[in-house]
Amino acid sequence: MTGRKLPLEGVRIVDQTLAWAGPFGAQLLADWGAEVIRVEPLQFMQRATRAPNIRPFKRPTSNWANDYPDGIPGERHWNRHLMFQVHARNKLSMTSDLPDSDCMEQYLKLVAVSDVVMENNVPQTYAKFGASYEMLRQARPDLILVRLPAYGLDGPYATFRAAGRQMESLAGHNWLRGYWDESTDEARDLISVRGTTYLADAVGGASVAFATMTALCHRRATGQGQLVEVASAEAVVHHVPESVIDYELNGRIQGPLGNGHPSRAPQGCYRCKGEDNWLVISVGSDEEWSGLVRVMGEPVWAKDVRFATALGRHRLQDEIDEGISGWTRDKDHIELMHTLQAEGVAAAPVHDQEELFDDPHMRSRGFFQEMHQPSTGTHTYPGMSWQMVGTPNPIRRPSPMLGEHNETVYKELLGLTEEEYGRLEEAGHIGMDYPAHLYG
Amino acid sequence: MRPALGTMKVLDLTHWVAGPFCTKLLADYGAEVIKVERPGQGDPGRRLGPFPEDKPGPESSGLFSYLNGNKQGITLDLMHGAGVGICRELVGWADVVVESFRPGVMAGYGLSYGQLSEVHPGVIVTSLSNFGQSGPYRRYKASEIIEYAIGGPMLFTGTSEREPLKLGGRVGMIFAGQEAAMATLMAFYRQMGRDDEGEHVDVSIMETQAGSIDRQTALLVNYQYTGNRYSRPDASEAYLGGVYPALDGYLDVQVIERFPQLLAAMGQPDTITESDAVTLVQFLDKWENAEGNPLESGELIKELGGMLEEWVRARPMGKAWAQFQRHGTLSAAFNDAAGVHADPSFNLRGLWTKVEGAESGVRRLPGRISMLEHTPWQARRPAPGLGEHNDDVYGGILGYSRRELSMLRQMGVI
Repeated sequence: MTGRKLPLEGVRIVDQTLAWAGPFGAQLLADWGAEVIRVEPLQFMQRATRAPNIRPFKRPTSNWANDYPDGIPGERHWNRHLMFQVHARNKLSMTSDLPDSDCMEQYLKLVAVSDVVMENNVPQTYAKFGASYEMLRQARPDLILVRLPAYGLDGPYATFRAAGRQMESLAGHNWLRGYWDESTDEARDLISVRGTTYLADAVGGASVAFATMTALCHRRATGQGQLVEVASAEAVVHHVPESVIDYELNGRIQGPLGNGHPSRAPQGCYRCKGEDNWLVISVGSDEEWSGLVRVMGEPVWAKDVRFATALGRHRLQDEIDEGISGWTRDKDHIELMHTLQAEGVAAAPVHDQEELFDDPHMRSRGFFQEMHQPSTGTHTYPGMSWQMVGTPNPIRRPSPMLGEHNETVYKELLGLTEEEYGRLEEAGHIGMDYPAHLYG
Repeated sequence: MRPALGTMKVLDLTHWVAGPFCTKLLADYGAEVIKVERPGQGDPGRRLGPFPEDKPGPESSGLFSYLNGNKQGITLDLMHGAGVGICRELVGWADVVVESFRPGVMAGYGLSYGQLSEVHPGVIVTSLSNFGQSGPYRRYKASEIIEYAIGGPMLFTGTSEREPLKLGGRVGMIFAGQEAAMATLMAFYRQMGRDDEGEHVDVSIMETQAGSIDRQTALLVNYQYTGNRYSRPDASEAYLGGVYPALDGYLDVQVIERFPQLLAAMGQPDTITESDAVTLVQFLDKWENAEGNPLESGELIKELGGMLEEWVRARPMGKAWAQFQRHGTLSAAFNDAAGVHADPSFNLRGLWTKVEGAESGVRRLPGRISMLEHTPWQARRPAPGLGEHNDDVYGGILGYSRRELSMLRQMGVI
C-alpha cells in the first residue's frame, strides 16, 4: 500500500494567491501531490497572507488573528503566524519582485516549466505584476491559468475590494443565517456578519481547486491548456440553491431559519452541564422522536399527542425545546451524544478546539498530523480534508519560510549560475527578509 | 465542443443533497452520469422543496432539478438480487462509482469496494458519508447541523449571549459534495496518466467541516499555539462596520484598519451634507487627540459607527457602496434572494441559465460554477424523471432486449 503515487504528482503549480480562499485552493492541490511554488514579493507583504499585518501587534490582544506560537511574534514573524501555517504545508516558497524585468525573465522561465498558474488578486493588482495571459501562454502554450476574483474579471464590480464576508452578502448567504426569532436590523447586523464562520473562502478555494482539476483532466486528454475563471461570489450562490429557487418559483424571500430545519423537528442546540457546552439534536422521523423520548426517561410533557407527528413537532418546537433544554442542562454533552446515537437519534456535541483534537473518532481516523516547522516548533495540525484508502497521505514538508526554496527553484530548476543568483540577491529580489523598515 | 470531462463515465448511487451535488459537478463539466434510483420512490431528494406553488410532486422539486441536471436517470432495486447483478454490470461500464449510503450498506448489497474491484479492476469508488468509512462514529446518524457541531465551526458562530448557530441553508452538505467531486477528479486524473490501479475515496462530511478554512482550521492551529479556546464573540463589544440600512436596501461595510479611507469616503465634498461635514470635523479632532490608540477606544468606535450608520441611511445603497469602493473600504450589497436574482454582475456575466422542459417548472437556475475558456459549462439535459432513461441505459448500454426489460419491470427490479 505504501509508496503509491499521490494523484497530482508531476503537476507543478505557480501559486500567486493571497489571504484565505486562493491559498486554501492551492493547499488542496498541494496536499494531494502537486508541487506548489509560492511566488512571493520581497519588497512588501501581501495583505493577510503570511500574517495579518507586516507590523506585528505589539502586545497580545484578544483577537484570534493575532496569534503566533505562545502569542509571541518572535524573529521573522511572517514565518510564525497561524494564518500562513494553516494552509502552506506541502508548498514551497520563492521570492520575486514582479514586474521588475530581471524577475519577470525568471518568472516566465518558471512558467515555461509549470502546468498551472493560480492567482486570486483584485484583477487590477494582478495586472500590476506585468504578466498577461498572452505572455504566459507564449512561455507555456498548454498552460492552465486559474484566476479567482471576488466578483469576476469583468462586470460592474470587477475592481471592487472584498473579503469573504462581502461575497457572501452579495450572494445572499448572509441573509439566510441568524437566530430566527430576531429579525430586526440590529440582529441582522450582529448575527449575519460579525464574529462568524465565513463560508466564501472555503467555497472559493474548493471551487477553484475543482475547476483546476477539470482543466487538468481536459489537458491530459487533449493537450490543450486554457484560462479558468471562478468568481467566489458566484460560487457562493451555488451553495444556497433553495433560497434562489424558492424566489424563482414562488416569489418568496427566505429568511434565516436559525438552527431549525425546513422539515426536521425538533432540531436545535441545547445547553448542557458546564460553561458554554452544547448539544445539537436533529429529529427526522417518528422513530427518532420515540428514541429521544426514551432516552429522556419518557417524561409526561413529551408524551403529549400533539408531538406525535412531524407537523405537530414542527409547529410546537418552542414547547419541545423548553422540555429538552430542561433535560440537557445538567448532563454531559459528549456522553449524551453516545446515549442518543445508541437509540438511533442524530445528536452531537458542539466541539471546541480541544475536544476536537481529543475526539476518539478523529484520532482513530488519523485526521490530525504532527508537523515540525523550524520557526514554530512541533505541533499537531488538521490533516487532509478526505482520505484515499489506497494512498496514505502524510504531510510531506512543513510550511515554507519566506524564500526558503529560492536556491531550489532559481538554481536547480531554472539553472541560474551562482553569479546570476547573486545579482538577483544583491538587487533585493531574492532573500528571506522583508526590508527592515517595514516591520521594525 | 468536447467538454472537459468528456471521457468520464459515472455510476451515481447517491441521494439527498451532498452526493447529488458531487455528481452534478461532474455531469456539468461533461461526465456521462447515470443516476440510480429506487423504483417507485426514487431519490428522497425529490421530496425536498421548494416546489412550484408549494405543491409537492415527485417530478417537481426545484432543488432536485438543480442538483440533478445533466444526468440520466434509471430505476434499480438493490434489495433485489437481480438488481445487484445489473448494478455490477453497470460498474463494469463505469470509470467511477459515487455512493452516499451509510457505511456497511453497500457491503450488505454485495457491492463493497473489494467486490466492485473484482467486477471491475481499477474502478474508482467515492464514498461520501457523515463520518467516513472507518472509526467509532461511522454508523452514527447526522444531518447538516450535526456536522457543523461535531466538526467544530458551530461553536464560534453566533454571539456569546446565545446558543451556537449554524450557517444558512444546506451549505455544509453542498461544500462536502464539492470536495467529493474534486477528490474523485484527482483519482480519475491519476488514472488518465496510465495508473491502472483503482482507489477508494473516503469523504467524511465531518472532516470536510473540521478541515474548512476561515476560521475552523485557523482556530485549531491557534489552540495548538496558545492553548486558547475560541467561542462566539460578545455582541456588545465595540466593533466598526456591519450591515446598515440604506434608502433602498442594506449595505455590508467592514472596516479593517483602513480608517483614513473610511473617513475620506464619508467626507467627500460631492456627496457630503453640511451637517455631516461639521460632525466629521469634530469627530476627527477627537480622534486625533485621543489618548493611546483610538482603534482601541470603544467609545470612539461606537461614535464613528453611529455616524457611519447615519451616513448610509441617508443614501441609496448603490451610491454609498460605490463611494466606499472608491476609497478602498470593504463593502457590498447585502442581498436577499430577490437582490441576488436582480444583481447586475450575476446577470451581465451570465451566472444564470435558462432551463427548458424541467418538470418542476423551474426556468432559471445558477448555471456554471466556473468559466473554462475552451470547455465551458453546458446545459445538456434537465434533471431526469424517475426511470426516464431505463430503455436507453438497459437497452442501449447493457444490451437488454425489450422482453427482458419487460420481465425486469414485472419483477419490480427496475
